[in-house]
Parts: sequence; structure tokens; C-alpha cells
Amino acid sequence: MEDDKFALVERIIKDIHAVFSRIAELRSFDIVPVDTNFRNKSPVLYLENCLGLESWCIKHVYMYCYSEVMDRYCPKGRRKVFKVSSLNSDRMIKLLNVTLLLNPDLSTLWNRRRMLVEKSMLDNYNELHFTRLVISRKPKCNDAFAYRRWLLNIIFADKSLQMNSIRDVINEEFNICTQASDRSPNNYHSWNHRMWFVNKLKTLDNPLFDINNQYIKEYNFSEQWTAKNVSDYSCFHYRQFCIKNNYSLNEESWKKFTTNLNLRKVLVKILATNFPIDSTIQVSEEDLLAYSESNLVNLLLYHTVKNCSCILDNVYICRKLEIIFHELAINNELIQFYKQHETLWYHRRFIVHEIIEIIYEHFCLTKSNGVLVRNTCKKCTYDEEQQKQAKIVRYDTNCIYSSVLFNVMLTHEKKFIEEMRNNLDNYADRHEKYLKFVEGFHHVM
Amino acid sequence: MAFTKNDVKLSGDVPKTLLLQKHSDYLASYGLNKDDFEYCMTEHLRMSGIYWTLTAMELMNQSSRMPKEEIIEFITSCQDNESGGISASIGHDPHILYTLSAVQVLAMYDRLDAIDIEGVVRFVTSMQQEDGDKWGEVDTRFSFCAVMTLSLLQQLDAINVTKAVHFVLSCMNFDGGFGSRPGSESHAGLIYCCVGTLSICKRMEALHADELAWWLCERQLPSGGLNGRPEKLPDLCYSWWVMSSLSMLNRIHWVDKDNLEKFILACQDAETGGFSDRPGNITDPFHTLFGLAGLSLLGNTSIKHVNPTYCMPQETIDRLKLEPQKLHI
Repeated sequence: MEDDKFALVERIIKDIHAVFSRIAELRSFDIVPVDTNFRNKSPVLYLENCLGLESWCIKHVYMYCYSEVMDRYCPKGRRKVFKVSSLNSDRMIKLLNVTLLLNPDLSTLWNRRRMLVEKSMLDNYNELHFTRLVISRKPKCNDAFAYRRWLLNIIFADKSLQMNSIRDVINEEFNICTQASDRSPNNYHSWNHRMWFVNKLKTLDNPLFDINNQYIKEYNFSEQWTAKNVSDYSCFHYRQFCIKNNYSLNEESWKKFTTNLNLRKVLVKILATNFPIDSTIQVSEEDLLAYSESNLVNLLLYHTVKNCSCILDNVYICRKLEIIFHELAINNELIQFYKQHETLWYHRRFIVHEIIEIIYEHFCLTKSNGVLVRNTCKKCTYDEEQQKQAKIVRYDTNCIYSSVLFNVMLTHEKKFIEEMRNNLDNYADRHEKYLKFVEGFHHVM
Repeated sequence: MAFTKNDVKLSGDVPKTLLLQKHSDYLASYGLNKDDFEYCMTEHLRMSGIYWTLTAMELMNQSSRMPKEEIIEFITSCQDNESGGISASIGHDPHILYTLSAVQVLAMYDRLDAIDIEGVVRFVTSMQQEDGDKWGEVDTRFSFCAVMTLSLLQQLDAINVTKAVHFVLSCMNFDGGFGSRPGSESHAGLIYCCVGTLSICKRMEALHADELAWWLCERQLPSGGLNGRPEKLPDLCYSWWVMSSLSMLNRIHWVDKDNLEKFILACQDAETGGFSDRPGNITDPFHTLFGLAGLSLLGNTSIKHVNPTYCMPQETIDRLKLEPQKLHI
């Protein structure tokens, strides 16, 4: 009886590997619920590039493979002297494949694969294919993503890598992240991996690859994705990462990015409808559209209280404002359309925070333990002993609260909170409290 | 607050009192059948399983029901002579997560002599020198495990504490929360790891306490349970991660304690014993520990006092003369 069982498992291992010969084309793996072996046929299924395994055999197959792989290839205390030869590596790889497909949380077995890669007994690209299969079934498997990071570090360290191959690797990685994020909402690991990957691409030293294009692609991707997944804060967190990356687009990419997107128009519209009532601002929307970046920033933030003579980069500040107000406009629409989504309101906190940071930075202030303190200039690290960490005087707060930008933002938030309160979105009250007590506007609200 | 969509509703017949004897029986018999499939599937986290079970038993003052000598012998056999690290089970690779679990168990038993302490220190310090684990992974969980392990061994100065604190602080987000790496999303479990690291390294004032506590309190749902991130379902284990963080921040009174207690009690299984992630689900030792530890933080006197930083009985922390920092304001 036992012998029959072993023969059956060996047969299953063999059948799985027959399918594995086409690993580059395999898209997904899953366990198919079938209670008993009533058909007396192989439980290994292969259909349209998908591998399936009937559930009745899982226990036998797993216990058999796990026991053998641990006994033979992970002996206690002899790990370092343990030698793999091409003779037994074939068996080892088969057992590792089956065991990890069924239980991908076994870090020790992923480490065995790393060892085999280092000895060139496993191929980097085939390994990427294998993990894709594992992630298709377990989209939250951190060990599999960690293994991909390890593989990608090796692949990108190869300076002879051709641009075509780089492009293939990049497309594949983003596809896998997208698929994992789709299969499992709020997938911490897939979005974290995606961020890691973009950061990895930043370090890619290849004249043919322009990271700015990637920033724009990811920015556009995240805009579409977030609009369809309004309860998934993980993708909104990624969106925030994309927004910050877009702040630093170079000249050429900025032009490309704004070709079909009139960011200035969105900003001007919000500004014009929220200018302080008692102000002497007498500019029309048309004027504002034509303003240079510098003129616009001067209007919104006017004088500074800087002690050093560094020139502020108004073009940079203006672009930041255009991006973040565009985000505010999108968020307005999403909240109006999808009521009562904590995720959307949390994302709004990020937007407000970014605007406030621009203002604080402009006036050389920073918030520390709930109190505003003088900050050193970021550019020249101007550092006067008394200024450092000194509590700010009333004059500084007045600069902030009387700036046009702050007033526009606050007026806009107040109106929006009121509108959403009437729309019966209970998060509106929460947002108001947050602005008052966490952002610290209780004395101006 | 009836507007939250991702929440559960507690039915009328959920347990409302603490079933200590049931939990003790449940844990004492857990995993006795070593040949079964479940046992085999979870062998890669056995060491943490022992920590969860023993700590829960300790908190119920029932640890005499655990096979002490067998456990100690098992831990000794899981230490890797070369790296000094400890693995989850025999034959598995040493890992910082299981090294910590092993050290926690031995600290509770007051049997740290059962392992090569210098070996463990060597293993932990090598991770900082290499900026991550053996394969280059970095994670705030690892930082927490490292400082907790070393402090239990009275060897915190074996690593560069300033550097470890700096890494943790580089993972802080605008909402005051923390993720697993710089720039990663805030997550209640990882917040516990980061706040815990700062508590052990006595650098709690570097936190944005009010922002962070605000975010943590918003994890409470109308059912009384807590989730770990916005719009996720409540899960009993966050009763621990959120509440222990709030306890270190000295702001535990910011949540509705009565409502949370009701949720935790509802996660008990009156038949099998043990706690599950949500009412009605299958119980396990992991959630059983965090259910009991959560109740201890809420002031339940039939459970021993738990230390919020170490997730171990306060009496063990006192015996080791450890004084993890708590904020006073």
C-alpha cells in the first residue's frame, strides 16, 4: 500500500515536470478542489498555460517531497560542507519545485534555490518564471518577492545586458506586480515590491534607459488603478510615491508629461474660486494662466523670512503645486462619487500635508512635536545657533496664515467638508478634526 | 459610526467571559500529533509557535503544562554552530525571527545558558554589518528582532544602536506611522516593531506621538475590533500590535476599551478553546497569545501583567532588570 502511494507521488512529480518544460509560457498555478481520485487519472492538469493540481493528492505529495528534501538536502550541521553535484541536483530541483509550489513560505528552501543559482545549476530567468507561478497562487508571498529582488539584483549587475532584455525584465516585473495587486487587494508585498523595483531602476546605469519615462508611466498607471480601487490604500500609498517622483521630472519629460494635461488650468480654477474675500488680489483666471512660475509662486507665498541669500526654485515649487492640486481635484471627484471611503480621505490627508509642507519649507519652518520651529535652509544649511530649533515668533505664523496659498487651501477644505457633510459622508467630520488637531489648525478653523 | 463597510457584526451567542481553562487545555494538546499534515506545513515556524504557546501559558500561569526540558533541548539543537543563529526547526536555516523566539522562550525559562550566547550575538551583529539578512533583505521587523534579542542577552551595545534607530526613523511616514522599509506604507504590525525598537533603545521622543496615536486609534471599528490598515477587516492580532504601541506611547485610553474587550472575548471558541482572528473562525496559538496579551493590557486581572515592548510577562522583564522606555506625556 505504502509502495503504491510512493509510486503515485513519483508519477505526479514526473507529470508536473513534464508541464514545467514549458515554464516560460506557464502563467499560473492553482490547486483544484477535487475530493477523491474517482477518475483514476493523473491529478496534474494543464490547460491554456495554467498548471493545476487536484486537491486530493496534496497531502501525500507535500509530505513525501518535504520529508525527502529536508532529509537529503537540508541536513542539520552539514549545510556548509554539503556538496551538490549535477548528479543529485536534478532530483533536488524537482523536489524544491513541488514543495515550494505547495508551501511557498519555506524560506530555507528558497535559500537552497539561491545556492543552486550561485552554482549556476539554476538559471536566473527560469527562476523568475518559477516565482511568477508561485505568486500567481500566493500573491502575498513575501519570500517569493524577496527571491525576485535577489535575482533582479544579479541580473541588473550584469553590465553586458542588452536594452531589449532590460525592457523585457521591466515589463514582466510590472506585470507581475499588477497581477498580484489585482488578485489580492491591499497587497502590501506587491506594492512594496513595485516601489523597490522603481527605486532599483533609478540606479540603472544605462544611457538608453530614461527613468523619467518610467515615472510618467507609473504615475499614469497609478491614476487609473486608484480610481478603480477606492478601498485599497496600498495603491494610494504607491500613488503618493509616484507623485513625489514626478516632482523631479527633468525639463524634457515635464514637457512630455504636460502635453495632454493642462495642470495649470486645474490649479488656477481652485485658486480663483477660493481667493480670500477681503484680499486685494485683482487677477483674472486668464492672467493666472499666463503667469510665469515665479510670478505665480510670488503671488501665493510672497515674501520669505529667510536669513540666507539662497534663491528659491520657483519653477520647482510651481510644478509641485500643479501636480498636487491636480491630485486634489481628482480626490474631490472620487470622494463625491464614492461616499464613505476611509482610503480616499486618508489620501486627502497626504495631499493637504504636501501643500502645508511646501508652505512650511518656503518659510523655513518645520513641525517638531506639534510645534513649529525654525529650520535651517535646505540648500546652504544656514545655521545660526539661536535660529536652530528656536521656537518661532508670532511673525512667522502670521506669514503662513496670511499667505494666499494657505488661505486658498483652508477655504477649499472648509467648503469641501461642509459639502460632504451635507452629502452624509461621516468622514467629513473626521477630516475636520484631523486638520484641527493633527495638522494644528484649530485656531484658524 | 455605522458607515464602515469592512467590519464584522458580533452575534448574540458569542462568548462574553474569559474561558481560561479551555485555552490552557487547547494549548496543552496543540500539535501533539506530529505526523499530521498541519504539523508538517507549519514546521518552518515551529520556534515561534513554541514562543506563542509558552507565553500564553505563562500569562495564564499554566506553563507547567508545557514539556520544559524537551523544549530547551529542541532549542539547543536548532542553533547553527557556524553562524550562531537559531532556526525555526531542525534542518531549517537560522533566521533572526526564530532566533528571537528561541531567546524569548529561554529568557522566560531563565535558561539562556542552554545556547551559545556569543554565537547569537555574532549572528545578530553580522546582519547589521551586512545591511540586512544574508540575502540582502532589509525590514524593520529584523531591526526589532535584533535589538530585542540583544537586550534580552544584556548585549545591546554589541550593535551600533544609533544606526539601528536611524534606519527605523527613516521608515517614518507623514502620518507618523511606519512601514517595513523607507517609503513603505504604514502598517500597525510594523509600527509595533518600530515603536518597540525605539522603546528598547530609549529613543521614544523621536516619535510623532500624537500623529501616530491618532492613526492607531482610527484602527478601531464599530465592532470594537482593530484593523491594521485603513479599510481592512478587524483582526484580533491587531489588538496586540495597536494596543501595545499605544501603551508604549502612554495613550491606551484613546481607544474604547470596553468595546475592544467585547471583541476580543468574542474571538474565543467556547468548544475547542483558543482565540481566532475574528469571531467564529478557527483558533490558533498565535491569536490565542495576542488575545490574552491584549486582555492583559486592558487590565484583566486574571491574566498576568504583560510587557508591551517585549510581549512577555512583566515578571520576566523585571527579573532581567530591563527597562524599556514608555512615554510619560
